[in-house]
Amino acid sequence: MRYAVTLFAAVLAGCGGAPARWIDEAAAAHARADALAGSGDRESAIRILEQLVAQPTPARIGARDRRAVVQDAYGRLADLALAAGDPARALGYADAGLALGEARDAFTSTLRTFRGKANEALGRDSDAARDYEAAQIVAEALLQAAMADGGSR
Amino acid sequence: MTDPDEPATESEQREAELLAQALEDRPAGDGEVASVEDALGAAWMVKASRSGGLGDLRARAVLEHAWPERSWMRRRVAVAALGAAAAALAILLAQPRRPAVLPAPPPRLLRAQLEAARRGAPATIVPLEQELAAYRRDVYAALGRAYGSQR
Repeated sequence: MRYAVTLFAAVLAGCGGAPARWIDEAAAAHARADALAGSGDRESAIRILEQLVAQPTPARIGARDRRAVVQDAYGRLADLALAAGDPARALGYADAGLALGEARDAFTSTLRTFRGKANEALGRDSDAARDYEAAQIVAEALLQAAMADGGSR
Repeated sequence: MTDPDEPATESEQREAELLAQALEDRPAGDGEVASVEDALGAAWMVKASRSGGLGDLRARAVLEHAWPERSWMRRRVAVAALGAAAAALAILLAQPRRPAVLPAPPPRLLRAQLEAARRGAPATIVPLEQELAAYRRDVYAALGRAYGSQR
């Protein structure tokens, strides 16, 4: 009987809070990265965000939400790498983010934008042009939808 | 040894009479019971066995024999029920939740992206970073609401 009650409690404790914990940890990682990047320590900020994208995702996180969190982190990593003058590294981050899938959302257009910047810095103009075009198509579609909804932010 | 053919002594006759009284549930005389405790005990046992019913001792013995079995069965049923409930709960909790309702990107962010996504724009664009940071806060707030975050 004791074992069954313990198992029951473990199931409740183990399964209930993992998604919320993962979300909280991701938000905390961004807050630490903000502070580090603000103080000029981009490498430490990159390490924090690399740990975030390497973390296993709880099973209960929806696939779209997982993609949003991880792609947002990859976009930020690409931005930090570009700011650090390392376009090859930025390209790697952007590719890793886009490998999770593309959709008509701000995460995809952000990654395409930073990928274009990395390719442009690496002298790959045609690749950069394709990335910029893809980013603009998504951003324009979202902007039109926002304006149709009366968005003013 | 006493010869069975010899006539009973007065004391033997008295014991036999008390034994007969006990078997027939007739009260014994005061002060005489103490002297024949063995006879009374034997009479009680003989009567109980003859009656065939459950005396206190036998009933208790039967209960003690039966109850552990019943208790063990009840524990098995309870453990099985709790285990099944835990398994069902684990399966339910392991299912991905419905996706959070993420906020639409604000037009300011989208305009900053359109501005940045072109050749010749600076490699890092402060307005885009600022808009992304603001949108990120909104996204995490929505995720927190959907997944019960404490933040």
